[in-house]
Amino acid sequence: MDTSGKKLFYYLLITLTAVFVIVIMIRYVSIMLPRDTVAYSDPLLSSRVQRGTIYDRNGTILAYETPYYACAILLRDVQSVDDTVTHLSKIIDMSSDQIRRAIGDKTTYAMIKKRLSDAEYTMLKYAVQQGTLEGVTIEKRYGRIYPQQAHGAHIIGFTDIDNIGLSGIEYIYDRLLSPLPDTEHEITLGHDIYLTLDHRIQFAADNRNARLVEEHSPESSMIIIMDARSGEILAYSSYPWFDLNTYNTSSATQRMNRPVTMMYEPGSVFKIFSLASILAIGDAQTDKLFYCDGSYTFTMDNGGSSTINCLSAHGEVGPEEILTYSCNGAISFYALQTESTLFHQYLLDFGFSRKTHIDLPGEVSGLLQPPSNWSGRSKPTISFGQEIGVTAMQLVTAATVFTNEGTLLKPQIIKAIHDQETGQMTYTERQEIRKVISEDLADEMLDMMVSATEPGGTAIHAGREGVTVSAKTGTAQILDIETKSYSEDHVLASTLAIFPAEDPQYIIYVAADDPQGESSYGSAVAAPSVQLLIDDLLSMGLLESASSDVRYLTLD
Amino acid sequence: MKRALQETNTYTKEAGYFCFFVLLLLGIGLMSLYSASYDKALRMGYEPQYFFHRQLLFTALGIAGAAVVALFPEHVIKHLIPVLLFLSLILMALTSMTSLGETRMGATRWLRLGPLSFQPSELVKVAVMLYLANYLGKRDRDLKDFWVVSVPIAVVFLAAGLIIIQRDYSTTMVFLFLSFSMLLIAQVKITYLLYYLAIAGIPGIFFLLSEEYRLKRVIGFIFKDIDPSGINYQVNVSMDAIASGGILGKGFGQGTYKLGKIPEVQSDFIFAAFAEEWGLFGVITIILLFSALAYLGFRGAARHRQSSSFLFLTGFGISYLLLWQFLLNIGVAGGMVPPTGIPLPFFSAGGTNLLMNLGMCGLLLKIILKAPKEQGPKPETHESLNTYRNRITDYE
Repeated sequence: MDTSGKKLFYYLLITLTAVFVIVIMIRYVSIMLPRDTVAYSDPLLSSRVQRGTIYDRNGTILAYETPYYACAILLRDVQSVDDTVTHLSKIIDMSSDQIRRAIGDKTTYAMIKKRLSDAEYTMLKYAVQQGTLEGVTIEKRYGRIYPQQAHGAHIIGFTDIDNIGLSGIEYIYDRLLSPLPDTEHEITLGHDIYLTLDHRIQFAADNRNARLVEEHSPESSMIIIMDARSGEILAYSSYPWFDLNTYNTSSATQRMNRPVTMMYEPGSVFKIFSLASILAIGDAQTDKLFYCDGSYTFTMDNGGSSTINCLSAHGEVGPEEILTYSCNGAISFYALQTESTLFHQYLLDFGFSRKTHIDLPGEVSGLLQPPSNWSGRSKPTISFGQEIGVTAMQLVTAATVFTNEGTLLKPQIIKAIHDQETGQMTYTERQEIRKVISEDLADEMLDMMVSATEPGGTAIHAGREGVTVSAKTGTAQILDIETKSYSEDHVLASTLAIFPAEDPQYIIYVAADDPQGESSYGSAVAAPSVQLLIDDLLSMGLLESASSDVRYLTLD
Repeated sequence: MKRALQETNTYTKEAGYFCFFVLLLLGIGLMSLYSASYDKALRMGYEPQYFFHRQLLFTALGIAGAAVVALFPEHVIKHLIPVLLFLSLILMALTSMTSLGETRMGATRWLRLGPLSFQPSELVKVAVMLYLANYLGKRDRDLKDFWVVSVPIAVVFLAAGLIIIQRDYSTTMVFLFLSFSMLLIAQVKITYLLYYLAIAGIPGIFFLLSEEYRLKRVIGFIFKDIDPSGINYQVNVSMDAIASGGILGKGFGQGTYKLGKIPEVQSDFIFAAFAEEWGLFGVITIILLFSALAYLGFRGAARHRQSSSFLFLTGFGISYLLLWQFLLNIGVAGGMVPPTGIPLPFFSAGGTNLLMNLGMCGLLLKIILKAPKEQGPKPETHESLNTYRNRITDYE
């Protein structure tokens, strides 16, 4: 027998085994020797991040974290999958087939239902305690509750089942609300966020919006209320809306955040910005009145002639009358006397064709063609708010020029951020973007806009006794994308109001897309909502009809 | 007779150490099982000492069995081997192919016999090992003959096939590893082994890739970030538990990972719970104890090299099997080896495994305790095999 060969393999195998023993020892030494960082080594440490709460400006809770329970099966602990599935299907609201589908071909762990209802949880807990459901576990998780339901839904946003922000503030400030776990604490607290929204005003705006929808059945409608001095958004109502708590059953139409994502031609509301630009440039002879006979025909640069129609013959019209009667002919007349590049630049300075950079996802920048792309009709058409794409947020923001001595403000949605670890409160500061027009012109514009809410004006329904309201209505024709022409009956009715005119506190913008019924004019559809909201503000003590001393609760 | 004429030495000291190490490991194993499994037992709806009491019962049975095995004369054992092999193969077939088999966690590996259940794959491992030792250890075999070699390899593949049917792939791998190691040191021509490995290997790879979950586990092991089967979760938790033990451990009963975090904490992953409570100190101690056990076994086996190839191969096989089961188990717990379900000898809950391990220890004790005196000419240096063989025939 050749024993040397026998010994060779014998020692080879023994050596191999010995080497493996040493390797395993080294492995265990490397795993078990204490390291510098002990993060996550203790399963109970820093296992949880508590998502911050979202409040309105007065501390009303808009979103908070709450525990809920999920049901899973540890398949290796299950003796008979069939029995467990049958038992489980009797307790939770799922059929045997659905549960089996959730298990699929998994062999160790299967999540069955991510959020149990209270009834399911109670019954399942009892069954698991009784030991009748082997392998079934109940897992505690955390999710969001939105106590204001649909109010402010498009601003607040929502989180998914894993508590990650998907839209609105929940999305934009996800990392701030749910920071990465801090290894030194058992629970990491997210930052609390105070929005500029005032829940009372938000509630009123939603209420008035609902009423507008009921009376005029528009496709969609928006009401935005802004603090005229700070650019803070106080209410943000966009119909169709949805309940944040059941966002998963909502439609994309409901979730669409129209005030920042919907671009449309604003119509006559835009005249306040084009008139302000024309007056600021000073090319047009505005002391010379325009005689409106119901239409205005002018010669274009290429020699052809073009006609602009008015609703009726307005007679002699100056700058103030343009706003009172909303005369297309007169604004076109003045616009044609104004240099195109400057006119375009002023509109850009008002913030059109640029994002407002409000803290909301998906904002669009609108559309304003450069003068080189303009046709002979473009300048007058733009001057009364067609052939230009804007968002509701841009219009409201542009109005801050008139309420802040001619300076454009940045719209704000965050009032303050509260760091729960340090207790520090960081307030958002009023932010001026640029000087657009002079202080005198801004005051003059507000004065002229008051005429629209006086007898004979288009915005008469936006006025309220005791409060001087500067306003402008608009009824924009909406371009039909399919036929590429303006439709006769599809209009967007809107009103922009600033009040009190002598010391502006609020900017309100109301817009309804495709209103139905007897009248679809801005003066009839949107302006009454402004009046009702003024009533609401008065009754809440947020506006005074004698003096305009607005008192509302602040954070501190 | 040969046996009567050979003088034997008695190695009481080594045997004493061996018994001491086995009993020490059993004791530590029982303690760890109690600590690791009481919460699991409660979660499963049993009394807290459920696993502990069962294990205690099997420990007592196993020690008694080991004593009986140690007292069996060599020739009685040799005669029992064919019976044992046949019985184990029959039991395997009964488990897989009749309704007597019991399914747990999706695998049919248990044979229900009244109130008891039995895992024949544990028996078949030992039976084939003894069969190989007996077959290869017969001196008149010419292990250079292809057909002589084919018989044991056929038996190995048959047994492996029966284990595979039960979806017990880790046991199959350990079993094949053990069998081929024994064939190698029994000096079977290595080219034959390579032929057979190729024949078995190619379908083996197809087989490995044929079942989705097995592929997922392999992918999960190689690419840690992609974990399609979720198995890395178990291993990661196990490694976290081990790491949290530190140098001295949290102390007996003080572990927290066993309270629902470590899956299969009473069996496959019991070492993670042990490491958490006893720390690196405990881990090194256990590794040294098992190594010492295997060392004594290898030494004891080597003493029979000239006198009885059967005892040499058996001693080697037992020591090798015990040590590798241990190494693979803690290799999985430490994330070094792809996740497999190999029990930790003397620790993991499981009656059949414990009985078999203790039975093997009884046999190993016998091998360590008595060995013939190394006297007379050494055949590998002075005499050819034939003269040596003739000399033995003369005695007989």
